Amino acid sequence: MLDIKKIRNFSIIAHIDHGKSTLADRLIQSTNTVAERDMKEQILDSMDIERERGITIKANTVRLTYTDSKNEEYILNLIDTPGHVDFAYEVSRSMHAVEGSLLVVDASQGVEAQTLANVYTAIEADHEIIPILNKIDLPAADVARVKTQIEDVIGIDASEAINISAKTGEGISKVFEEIVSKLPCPEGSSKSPLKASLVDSWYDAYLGVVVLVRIHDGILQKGDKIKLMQTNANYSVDKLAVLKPDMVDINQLGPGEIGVFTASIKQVRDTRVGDTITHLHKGCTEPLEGYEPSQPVVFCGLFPVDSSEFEALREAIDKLAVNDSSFSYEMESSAALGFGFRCGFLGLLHLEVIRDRIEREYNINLITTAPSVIYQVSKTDNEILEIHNPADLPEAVKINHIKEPRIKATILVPDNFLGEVLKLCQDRRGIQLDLTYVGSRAMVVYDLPLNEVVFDFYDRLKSVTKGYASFDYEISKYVQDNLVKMQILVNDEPVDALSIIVHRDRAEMRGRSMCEKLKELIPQHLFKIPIQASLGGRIIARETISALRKDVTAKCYGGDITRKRKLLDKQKAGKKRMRQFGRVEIPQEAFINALKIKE
Amino acid sequence: MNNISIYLHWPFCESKCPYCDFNSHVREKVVQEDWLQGYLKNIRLWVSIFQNPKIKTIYFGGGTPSLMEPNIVSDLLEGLYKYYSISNNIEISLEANPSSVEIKKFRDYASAGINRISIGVQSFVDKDLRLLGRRHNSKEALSAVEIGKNIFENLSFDLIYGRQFQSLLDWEKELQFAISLRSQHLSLYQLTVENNTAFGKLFDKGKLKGLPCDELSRKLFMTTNDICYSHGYKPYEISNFALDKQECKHNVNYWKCGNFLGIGPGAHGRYQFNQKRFSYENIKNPETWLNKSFNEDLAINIKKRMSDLDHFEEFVIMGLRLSEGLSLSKMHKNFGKRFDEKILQELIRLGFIEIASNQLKVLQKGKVLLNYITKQLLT
Ligand SMILES: Nc1nc2c(ncn2[C@@H]2O[C@H](COP(=O)(O)OP(=O)(O)OP(=O)(O)O)[C@@H](O)[C@H]2O)c(=O)[nH]1
Ligand SMILES: C[S@@+](CC[C@H](N)C(=O)[O-])C[C@H]1O[C@@H](n2cnc3c(N)ncnc32)[C@H](O)[C@@H]1O
Ligand code: SF4
Ligand SMILES: [Mg+2]
Repeated sequence: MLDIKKIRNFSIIAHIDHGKSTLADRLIQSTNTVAERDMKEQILDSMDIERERGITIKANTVRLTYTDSKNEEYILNLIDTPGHVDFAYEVSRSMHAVEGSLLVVDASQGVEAQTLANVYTAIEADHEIIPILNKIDLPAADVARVKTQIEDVIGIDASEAINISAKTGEGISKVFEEIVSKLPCPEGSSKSPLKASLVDSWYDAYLGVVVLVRIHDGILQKGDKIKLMQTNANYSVDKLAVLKPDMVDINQLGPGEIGVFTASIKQVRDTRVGDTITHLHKGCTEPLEGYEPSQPVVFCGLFPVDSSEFEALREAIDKLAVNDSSFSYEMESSAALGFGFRCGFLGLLHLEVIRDRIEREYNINLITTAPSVIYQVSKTDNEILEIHNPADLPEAVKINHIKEPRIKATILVPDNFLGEVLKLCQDRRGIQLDLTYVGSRAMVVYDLPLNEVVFDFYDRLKSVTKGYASFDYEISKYVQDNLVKMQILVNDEPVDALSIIVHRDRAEMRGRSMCEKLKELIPQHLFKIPIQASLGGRIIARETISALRKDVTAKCYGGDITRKRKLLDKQKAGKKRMRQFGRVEIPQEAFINALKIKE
Repeated sequence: MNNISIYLHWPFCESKCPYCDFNSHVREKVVQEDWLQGYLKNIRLWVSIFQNPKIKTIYFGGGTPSLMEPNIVSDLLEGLYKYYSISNNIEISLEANPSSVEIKKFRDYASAGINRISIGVQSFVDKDLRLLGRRHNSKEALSAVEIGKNIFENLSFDLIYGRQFQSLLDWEKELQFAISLRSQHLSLYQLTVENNTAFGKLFDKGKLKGLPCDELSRKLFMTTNDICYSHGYKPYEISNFALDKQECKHNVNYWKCGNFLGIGPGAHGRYQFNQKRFSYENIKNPETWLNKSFNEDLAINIKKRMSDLDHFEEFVIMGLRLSEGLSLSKMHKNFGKRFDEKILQELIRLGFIEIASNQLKVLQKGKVLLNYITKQLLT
């Protein structure tokens, strides 16, 4: 049995790209957890999409064995978390499994919006926080300034912050020392009945559903009969392991430990994050305090391009949902697109990631319809509907009013870009709530409609501030406004998958922008294609895609043919991703990209 | 395999033209003797693979092969003759740039065995030659053509049209003039803005001004075909025009998916061996290519057995470029494939193609949309 006093559990938190995963690499490397030859950068970012985009999407746990200078051995469980807003939920649930957080701040950038948001979550979770200033190898690193900033903005003591470079390894030994000396050990009793929390679960092609647990009390052993308290489902544990980061089998897990098990779980819906796991017999009676799964805020339809792949899509979505409790779905059917699913996400990046994973890991081509937030529609007969599909909107005469969700957005930005940021927020129907300064950085708080933020606000913000602003938000309230449904007609036929709900005052601008975008996104055909935006039958914007008049390669000799074939292969792949609407073929990317506003 | 074409790639130029994405490089000094040895080594190694091939055509392409010393060309040809048998009416072409230095070598090339010259005129308008970044002027271009005509039994020259600020009328006049020179052959390429060229970069920044719109581009293409046709230059391929029976045999072999060996940096090859078709590509970088050749190795990068589908698609992509069209019965016999009847009917209805005695021909109205048609037929 492990001595609980020799266990330390912590998460690594930071703003996006401040170096969490790189720090995890160094901790893994210094403890020889992974053989040198198997080591690679951001080793925990194991999904293709994570490696491609260079960001962490899923929180990842690793168990390290650390020996200190007095030759004492400690078990450290670290959880590397994602930095992007859309995955904030991964951070908060990880925090429930551990007692402390390493707060990483890029010393060349300073405190950013997710630094703040994550620190607050850590404080709420009663975490001991160790501030770490990273990237001190960079010439732009300004340790003194960033320390003051941490104290001024976050209000935590940064005088003892550790200065490190996760890249070169400088300062890492100090990180270990403080993990051991400053973080509390977990609490719990091996004598009490088993009480474990379900931290995460995912689908593994070989093992089926894998469950990540944190033991609070009692002991979990291989072969144990267990019960998931919320769902009352029973299983017996087939395999018990710790993550290093690959699974290494273990016989038992005691209080304070984190590990995974499999138990031939078929019902993926049985594994609810936050649930309490105990023994079937002589189990605990009081579950741990659960935590609310975060609610999806952006919805869209996912349809297979090839309608015969509907069942395959269902299976893929089922499996992904195990891995991602913040993703919701239900079946949907559409006249133009056939059967598919209406899915809910935490944000647009989350949506793109799930879509990419379905396409890649399950090899299904998808059409994604225009994303929407949830509107509350009050009908004239007093019925209230929650609508996130413009196609479900009742006739205009039956609508009394529509409410939309608004958010409280916090933006940190260097003073010289403040004007741009204010303008952007103002253009998106924002109401300024607060504006304060931290040195030369402004912190603005805005009340904004979620539907103006969901699609491309973050991209725009990055581009108008050259990447210097950071942004975080939380949903605040529903507010009534002048909202209408806008339809898009392609070659004179309405395309439902492109219709959106929009503010009356913004309709013309959005309509124009969508028509312009679609003009770029839809390939030329042999005939002219009008693209129009309409509000209740009235055309408010129009573009025309001219007919294809010339398309021939001038030179094609022995060496050119290879290139020409590659082009053809690309076109073939592209064709697979097109959907026919009337006489027009629309590429599937068009549905989302059309919404990204040109400004 | 008995009939074969040989392509030799000379990868060097005096300067890099802003529109050019060929494998061409500017080097201060090129030791031509070393290169000769490099080519010869590759030739010898290929010989060990094929028994008794007969060479139908040889093509010196580039880059600027007219920078080669005539004795190098001559030694190279000698080297080839040592191992391969030569067909009686062999065609041996060389691409030449029309600078005065190069014109002086024409006679020696002819003595070395070159019997067809292809001159990179590009334009007869000085202002446009400057826009194209060429080193020669129109006078040199004209004298290259005239001198070349007296020396070689077969002369072709290249023009690029659809240039910046070029009107339909400008081009018609220039083309009429080109035709009046009565060369055996003309290659008339519509300017293509390629990625990774200076033009490509300017274009992406929106700084390449005065290019024709699609509509003008279409008219330029149509007019080019019409004018050439009415003056006896048969548009036998998308960008190639020839007086009666003066088609470039070497290039026709590409379009008919024949066998060809490519030798030199970046050169491609295709050949049939034991009923299987192979494709390969030489190492692109000149120095790496040469080094590898010196190590008694074939300086190739990728060589692979082509799938039947790859072979079929090449057969179609290339074959449709020729005015004589594609034999549907041969296609069915060799590849077991037929085109989708609905798509064929639609293309016929649109006046893009015609099918007569099992030969599919792309008509002029279709040629200008050839990529579209190919895509329809193959996807
Ligand atoms: N120069 C320097 N670069 C670093 C250091 N630490 C991380 N980086 C670089 O910063 C970038 C982001 O690092 P990650 O470790 O992926 O950051 P992250 O915080 O895990 O990012 P997300 O998971 O996407 O939020 C990478 O290009 C790293 O190589 C450092 O100490 N010095
Ligand atoms: C192999 S190249 C060059 C031969 C020789 N070095 C020269 O430039 O004169 C053959 C021909 O392709 C044509 N060409 C090259 N790049 C082109 C482009 N981007 N668009 C259209 N034609 C092009 C030119 O007419 C050129 O003469
Ligand atoms: S001379 Fe010919 S091959 Fe050389 S750079 Fe110019 S176009 Fe290209
Ligand atoms: Mg990361």
